[in-house]
Amino acid sequence: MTALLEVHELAKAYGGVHAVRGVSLSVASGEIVAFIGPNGAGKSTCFNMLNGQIRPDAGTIRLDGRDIAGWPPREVWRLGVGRTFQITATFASMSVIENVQMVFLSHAGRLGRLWGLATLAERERAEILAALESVDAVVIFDAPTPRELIAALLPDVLVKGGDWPGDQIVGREEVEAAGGRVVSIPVVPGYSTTAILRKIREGAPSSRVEA
Amino acid sequence: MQLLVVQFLSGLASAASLFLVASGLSLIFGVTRIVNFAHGAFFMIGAYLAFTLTDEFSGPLGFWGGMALAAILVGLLGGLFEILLLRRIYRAPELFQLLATFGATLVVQDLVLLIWGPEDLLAPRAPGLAGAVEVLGKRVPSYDLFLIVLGPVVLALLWLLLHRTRWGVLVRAATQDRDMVAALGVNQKWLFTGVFALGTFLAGLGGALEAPREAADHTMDLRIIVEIFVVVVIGGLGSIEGAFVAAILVSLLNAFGILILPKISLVLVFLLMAVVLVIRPWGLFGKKEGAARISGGATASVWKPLDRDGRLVALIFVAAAALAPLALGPYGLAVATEIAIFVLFAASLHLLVSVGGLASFGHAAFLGLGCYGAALTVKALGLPMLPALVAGPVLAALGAAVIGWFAVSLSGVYAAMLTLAFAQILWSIAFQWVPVTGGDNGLLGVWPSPWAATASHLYWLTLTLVVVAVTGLRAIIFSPFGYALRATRDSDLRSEAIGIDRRRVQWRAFVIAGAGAGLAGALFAFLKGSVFPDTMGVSTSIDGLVMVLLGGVETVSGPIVGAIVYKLLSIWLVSHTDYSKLVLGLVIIGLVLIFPKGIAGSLRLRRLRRGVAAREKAPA
Repeated sequence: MTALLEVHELAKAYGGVHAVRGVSLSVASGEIVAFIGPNGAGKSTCFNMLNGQIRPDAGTIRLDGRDIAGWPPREVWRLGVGRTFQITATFASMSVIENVQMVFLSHAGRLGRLWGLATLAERERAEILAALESVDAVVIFDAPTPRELIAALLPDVLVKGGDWPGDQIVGREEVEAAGGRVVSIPVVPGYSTTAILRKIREGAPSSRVEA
Repeated sequence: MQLLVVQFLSGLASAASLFLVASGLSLIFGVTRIVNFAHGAFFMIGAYLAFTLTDEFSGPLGFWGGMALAAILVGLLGGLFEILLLRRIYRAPELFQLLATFGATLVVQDLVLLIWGPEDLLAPRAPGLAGAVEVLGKRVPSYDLFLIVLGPVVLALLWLLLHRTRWGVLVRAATQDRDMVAALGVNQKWLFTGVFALGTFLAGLGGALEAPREAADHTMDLRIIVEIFVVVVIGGLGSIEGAFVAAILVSLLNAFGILILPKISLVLVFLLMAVVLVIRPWGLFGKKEGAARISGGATASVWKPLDRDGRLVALIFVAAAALAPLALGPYGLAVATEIAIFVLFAASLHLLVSVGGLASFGHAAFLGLGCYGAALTVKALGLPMLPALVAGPVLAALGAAVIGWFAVSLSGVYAAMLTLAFAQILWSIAFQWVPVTGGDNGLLGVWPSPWAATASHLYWLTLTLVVVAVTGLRAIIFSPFGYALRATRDSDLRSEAIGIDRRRVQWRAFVIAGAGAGLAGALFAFLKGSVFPDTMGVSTSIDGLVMVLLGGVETVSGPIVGAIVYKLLSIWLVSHTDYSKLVLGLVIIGLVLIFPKGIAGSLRLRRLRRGVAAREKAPA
């Protein structure tokens, strides 16, 4: 089975702090994969690089064989990558249905229109749904995701676990029970935010942290 | 050579006062995120107070004591203003505080007139510094040299205050992340009040120090406010060092611009600002603003097109407006025409500000382009009214395409300031390109074609075009494009993640809004029969913002209500009282306090609450 998503040696640093270093993984079509790791290990940063929110410093992200590292999110989305955000990002001045409708309209290339109402005909919606199902989509959940949702998911999914070990919402067992695979994101030794936090807690003599 | 040196020293001396005032604005913005439009007013009060106090107390002690006292009084006034007014509206939508500070500006303008009268007032010369020093054979006032030294001294003191005191550390922390400072248990209220008092103190000191140099007059507040906006933006919002460097840059550019390029001297400063914003969007010393935290649904309610009742009300309203010529005379009709024009102006700005979340401080540019486009079509090309009514919006849309292209690559206040810079560039061009625009004398004799020449015909024509245009704008708001535009405002992150190209969408909004304002401008030219540069001045832009904000940003009908109320009020006040600004300012402040969500917004909120109450009362 060929990999739908192939990530190789992904890295991102902020100043001297390595948020992510040397992350590689591959996801096959239909697979559920969870990222787990302690606070500050770089799970969200990884996701943000996958969908284009953050440009990686190094490494490749191959989606269907195409290197999409550094693409803007809207281009990555066009290839069928959807995601959730840790802090929910929705259109507050629109109803729930309209929020969903926006995705359909964007998919139909309809959002540039200056006339008509922002709704789709039933038939068009059905067509788009069918089209979406045939696309090899990657859905990224950047938050601990409830078990029911994972079980209900059909397409390929990346799920983010919370703290490890002892996470209440998604742990290794649950992902595996749902037929998924777990990718552990290690803390970059000496550099991660966790390490910095620990230093501060231990009473680093000044606010300067090894950079 | 000598002239250049003298000009250089004079420029540096002006920079001192400019730096003081601008650093105050920068501090206030950095911590409270308020664009303090009243900063110029505090500067003006400082100058007038310094005049009175130095006049009252004589001798060196009296002079310097009077100066210091003036600045301290202004600082106290600023603190009071923050406690009594701003504190109540920090939770209001973005830019709403601008309304309150604008109201305060109006009040101060008339108060100054009431207390000190209309004459220009020059404070006495500083004791001991009244003479001049010879530099390269030219005499330079010693007071200027004193100011040149004072600038860096104040910079050093401010630096010490911000870097070596606990309070200063808090201020700098709050500039970078207010929420974090609050989460650490700092009492934000007093931090804000303190910063506001310090900022206005600096404005007052700047005004006081200018008083012996240049006569205080009651328009100095508007003059300085534009200049310090420029300084703060070039230097970087929230950066004191930036304000210092930028104040020197701007003052020197002003001093030498008049010598070297007198024909475009007014444009230079704004060109510099535009160039800086395009190359370094956060100013020379500014830092990129941290991602704003999600403020828990800035807009809580869902936007809906008018239902049947709403459409009926709108229809009745338009029908009533169409019958106005039966009841009104020529003057009344001229007023009604002007109101209709400003309804369109406000509605077009609303598309940017409310739907797109793009604050524009320079919307008057498009109104002005529409004016000049129409007037030049008639005067220079000799064409009749109809082609002119097309040319106006087209020229404005072209201008909006250029300005918008630059503005959408910035965000928030920086984008707003860039629009202000462009509007001022256009204003300067209209002012200084005399052969084409007539300069300060404007273009006269732009009269409508004979078929639209009577007051009622012109009114009906205007009303028809305005109703069509406003209906069109509303249709656009609820079209797929309008949804996409609103999506970029609601959540940049999410809209990008579903494939919306924010810049492209917002750029198109600029063009559409520009065309709308341009049509308003073209109609305005024919109503007045003339065009003047001040149509695209800052005050027109601010008027537009006031209308939109008064109506309520979070509503679709807000700008219409806001424009009618604001225009009626200001026209009525001008003809009924000598102190129209005082009353208008107080009314605006009152409205801000009573309707913190705008008039239309608050009315809707009240209706919603009543609906909820009725439902709760109903038996289950």
